[in-house]
Amino acid sequence: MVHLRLWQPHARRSNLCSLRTVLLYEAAMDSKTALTAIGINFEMEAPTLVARAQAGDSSAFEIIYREHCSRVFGICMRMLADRSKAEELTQRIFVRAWVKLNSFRAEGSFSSWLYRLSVNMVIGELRLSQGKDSRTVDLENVTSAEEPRQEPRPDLQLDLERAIATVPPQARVVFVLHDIEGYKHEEIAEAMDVTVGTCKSQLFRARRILREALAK
Amino acid sequence: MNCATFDIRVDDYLESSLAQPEREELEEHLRECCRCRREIESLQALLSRCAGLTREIPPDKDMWPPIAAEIRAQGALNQTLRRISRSGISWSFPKSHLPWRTAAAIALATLALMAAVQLVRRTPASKRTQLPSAPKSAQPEHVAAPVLGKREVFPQSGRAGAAPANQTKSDSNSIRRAHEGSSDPASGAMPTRTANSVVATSKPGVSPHSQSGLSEYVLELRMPQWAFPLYFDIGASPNCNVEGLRQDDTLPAQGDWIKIQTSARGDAVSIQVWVLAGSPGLSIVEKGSGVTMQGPPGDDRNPADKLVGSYSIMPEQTIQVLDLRSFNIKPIEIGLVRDRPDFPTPLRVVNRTSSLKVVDIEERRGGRYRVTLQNVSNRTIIGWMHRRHNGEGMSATPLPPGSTTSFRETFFPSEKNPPEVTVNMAMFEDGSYEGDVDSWALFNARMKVIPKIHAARMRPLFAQALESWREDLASEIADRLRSQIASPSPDLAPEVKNEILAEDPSVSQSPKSMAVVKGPSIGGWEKYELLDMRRCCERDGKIVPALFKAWLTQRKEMFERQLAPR
Repeated sequence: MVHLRLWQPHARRSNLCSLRTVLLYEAAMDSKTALTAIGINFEMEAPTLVARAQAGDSSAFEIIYREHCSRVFGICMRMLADRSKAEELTQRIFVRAWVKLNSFRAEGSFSSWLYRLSVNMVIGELRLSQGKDSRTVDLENVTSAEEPRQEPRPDLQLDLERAIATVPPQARVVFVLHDIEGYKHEEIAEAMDVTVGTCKSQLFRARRILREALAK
Repeated sequence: MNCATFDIRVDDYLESSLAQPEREELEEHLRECCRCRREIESLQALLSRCAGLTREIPPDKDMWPPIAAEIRAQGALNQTLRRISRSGISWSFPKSHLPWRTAAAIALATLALMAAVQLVRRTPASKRTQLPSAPKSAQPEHVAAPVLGKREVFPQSGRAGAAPANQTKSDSNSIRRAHEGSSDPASGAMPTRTANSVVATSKPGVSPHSQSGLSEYVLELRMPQWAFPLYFDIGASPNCNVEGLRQDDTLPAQGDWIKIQTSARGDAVSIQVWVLAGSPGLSIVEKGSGVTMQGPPGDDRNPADKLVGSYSIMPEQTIQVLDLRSFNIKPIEIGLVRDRPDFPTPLRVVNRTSSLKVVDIEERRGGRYRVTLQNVSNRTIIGWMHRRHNGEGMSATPLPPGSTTSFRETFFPSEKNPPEVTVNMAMFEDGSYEGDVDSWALFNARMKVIPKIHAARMRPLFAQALESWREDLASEIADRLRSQIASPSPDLAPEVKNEILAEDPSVSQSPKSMAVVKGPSIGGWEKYELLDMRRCCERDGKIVPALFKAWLTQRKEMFERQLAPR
């Protein structure tokens, strides 16, 4: 007796994708580089992978994780300026993404959805940590109040990454989102629940701090 | 305008969102005000640096294990693996070496290869006793590909007397052919040359089963929904010829047909449909990167699984499994249709590039094809792309002159017929390309080749500067950078953008294509280099040779790193 089980059907995959299924699993063990090395293009196969992940396929989700973890970690790292916190939050973001995967609609870009989720969670995390530190800052009024900030060490003055880490949190978030991630002021203002004017002034402030740091 | 107004508007100015009059006003102020000029230069330098930052920061450690553990803890771990592992089909893999996901993938493949369909002699239609037939799936009308004559000639294009020997090999598993240049119109053989492309078509093969007296069928399962656990038990018999089940066939989508391609002797397939209840008693134990499956040996059945019913399906018949309604599952349809008689079907490969040549098309059973391409140009191809009717494939592996590469495709019987693939774009080291502009745009956007092109383009310039050191070289490099800023690289020049839009206006709506047009430009990058050089090397408006040399060395090392093979 021979059995054929069709227990968990997946969304239809392109043949391009299906041909490489075993390789995909294999490659997912290593890294995103390995995916590229064997000619697998994540973006091309992303809709299929997402559909599979939505159907409960954790291995497809692992491939998604490996494709996006560096970018998500980059967002967390730059906005939080704390590697251990960023790692912890990255894990939480992917777990949240897995839980919320069914709310993703195929007509949009998955990466945009994931990065937006990441940004929202980072902003939430920052709010939370401010609450914990009892240093709640009113974002609307923060522009006039100059916070004491950590001065960049002389040997790192030209290091932009380090300089970004010294910018106060709110200004840093706005700077990272606007100048590095390419978000618009309106989008940032909505995510941070502040006005566009506040957002612009925070950006101005961050840029000024950075220019001063880099000029030294 | 005063400096305060400038500060307010400078952001919009940098984002090019300032209205023309205001822009002109601001630029006029810039010409007059030294402070604001310095301000904007420093802002531009900062933004250039930001543009140079990679958005990705790789984490120090692999965070997947805790994420996977968390997912499992939430009860959302895919139970598929367990189901598959309990399929009752004996399969094995070296447990100590394979991660469990890999093992699962192998299990899938093994399962696919071991499925069997039993067919006994075809019974008359009048004896059919099944439920009323649903509409049959649309079977593709077979379009016969040109059949080669006895003498098959493949002359190389434009070169007389260079017809290579035909390498036709026909056996039960594969048909391999060689393709060179354009066609011989007299013989009707392929490849043929159209206005912009070379067409290579493989010869239609002879079904290996027609020789063995077997008929080919496709068992199709139509799924009205795709998230339910069903189990199909297909009885085997001594007459059954296990021919394999493509892995793809086990993955239906909502409303899709699962196609189980098989060949067998006979005329009816009996199938049991079960609804699965779960798989207690089996566990997957992970030890490091290895995996151990633990469960009742040979036990395939969960006692709680429910039998929906047993059905017998005739060829060219479709039944509905209405009994599933009692399990609150929408009925599925199962059909058995005859496959194309001339299997395998020839693949048509249209080549729109002259630098890539189709040198081989290998056909295998199951509608699988392997196309081999050769770089016949004298330049290294850094990437190429091919399309099929429902997708595309691309490779960013460098292909030096003369070397070959290959890609694989699979076509279902009911897909586009005859199957066709178009090799439509090849991209070179300098960012130039030949072929389809939209494919080039997609390729650029997806494969992120721009940084590599930056490095490849600038490295020789800087290397030359270091090797033949001259004091005036700094200004020469600055001039060259300036000139490249003024007329950006061909892949980002306005005429290319216009070409994209002229050829396909919808490209402007495509975020991916526009990402190329709007994205990080080589011109912008050169602008950054120039600014950085000036910042590092200029003192009082003059380039200091020692500083310049240090900067140059640093840059060269950076390019070496970027171009180093990973």
